[in-house]
Amino acid sequence: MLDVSSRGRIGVVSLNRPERRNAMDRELVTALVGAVRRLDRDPLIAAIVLRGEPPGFCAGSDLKFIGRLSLEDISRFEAETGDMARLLGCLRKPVIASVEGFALGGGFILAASCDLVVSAGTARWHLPEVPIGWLTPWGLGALISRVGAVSARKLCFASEEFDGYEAKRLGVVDHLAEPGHADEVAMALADRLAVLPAAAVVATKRFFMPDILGDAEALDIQANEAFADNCRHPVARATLERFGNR
Amino acid sequence: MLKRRQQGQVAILTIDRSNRRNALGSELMQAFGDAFAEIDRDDGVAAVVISATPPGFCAGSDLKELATMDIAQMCAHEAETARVVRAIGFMEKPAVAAVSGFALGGGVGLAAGCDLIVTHSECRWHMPEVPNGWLPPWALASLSVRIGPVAARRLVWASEPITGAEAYDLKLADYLVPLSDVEREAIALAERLAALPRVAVASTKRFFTPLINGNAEASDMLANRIFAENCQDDASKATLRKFGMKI
Repeated sequence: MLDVSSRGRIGVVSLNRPERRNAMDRELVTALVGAVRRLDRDPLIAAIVLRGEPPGFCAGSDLKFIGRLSLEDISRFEAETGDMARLLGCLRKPVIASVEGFALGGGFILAASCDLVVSAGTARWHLPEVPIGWLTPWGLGALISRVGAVSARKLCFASEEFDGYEAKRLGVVDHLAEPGHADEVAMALADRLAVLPAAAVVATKRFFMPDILGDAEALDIQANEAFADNCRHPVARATLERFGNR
Repeated sequence: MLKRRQQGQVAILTIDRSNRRNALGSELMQAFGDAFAEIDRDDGVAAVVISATPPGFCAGSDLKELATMDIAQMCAHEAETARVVRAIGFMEKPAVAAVSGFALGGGVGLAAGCDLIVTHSECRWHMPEVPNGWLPPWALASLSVRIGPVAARRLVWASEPITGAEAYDLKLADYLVPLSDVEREAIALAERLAALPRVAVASTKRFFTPLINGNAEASDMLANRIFAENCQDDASKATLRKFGMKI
């Protein structure tokens, strides 16, 4: 489900639900919140790396899981997932996403919610929510902070998927890695942050937080309402039924 | 210290402190403050270029001078430097930074305070403050507005220099030219701006000022407070002692 380990002063959190392409259900989100909170409090840890076990980083919300919930419960689950993603930006320590394979939907947004994003150049990045019937329900504030509102809207329209190189060009990704080497690059980055004076690293994250996440919660609430509304429409209903019955 | 010359309607301010790597000492900031006020009043000037004598644009704070201060004096000095750099954004006339060699710490801040930035691909751009132990005490708003807060935070954290080419890719710099042409291209750009209808250029700058410099003062004040706090930390004190500060 979720593996937590440490290497030196780096906490490593690995999504490990390969049979569901590391998609998020409630259990995973709850475990993730607990893990990053513990690591943030741990005085021996200086930075956190968030990664996925193969085949990829994360495929977003587990549609099989949400397909079995009522619409109200789906909205509530997505709100909780959004709370988790904003928490990453509010921790004291830097969080680095290491993306191999794919970052799709909520997985895309989860990565973009991290302070630094490393991606394999060949990794697939895509927000497929609009084609399946709804607005991405959380994390758009973090995405807007990275790419600006106009590009964020374009990404939400989701006419195409793209690779890590294009994600870097857009600002979704900060550092590129050769395929298979994202973890190495992310760990090296984490090691570099870990040797810097901790007070200054924490101060830097705190200083930029209002600019990066200032209106993120309000945006999440707004997106969640639009999402709930979208879910009542036929395309979304068909999507949810299709996955819920699998 | 700060040389001023005139080419047509363009005033060229050249930092001339190569013995201190063109660092931002109190005397230089005083000279900058006076020059900006004079230039903004001077009808013979339509645009300004800020350049520097080799080896590089500006090495940031003058650590040798800072070493003679206590932490409170140092914070006051940084606040004054911040104020003078913010004044560039509030001048009516556009300012172009000609950045060659290096822009370090406050040197990045000085460049980011200008309206347009010309650099060359091998130029060294670096924010060394966090490795020293502290948040940079100013210029973070102008950096954020240029490259967005996520990339700005990354540069402040990164602890690694970037090249002029990378600065250009991030939109930290606006123009990339060969090293030998940096000052000439900056002046040519200023001349092009100077040849435009002055009222329209001034209106354009004024229109964007709230969007670009709107919260710069509050941001600088907050950064200065955090800087002061960070300077009490052991890692910072060790750095300051290394520079010769008696704390």
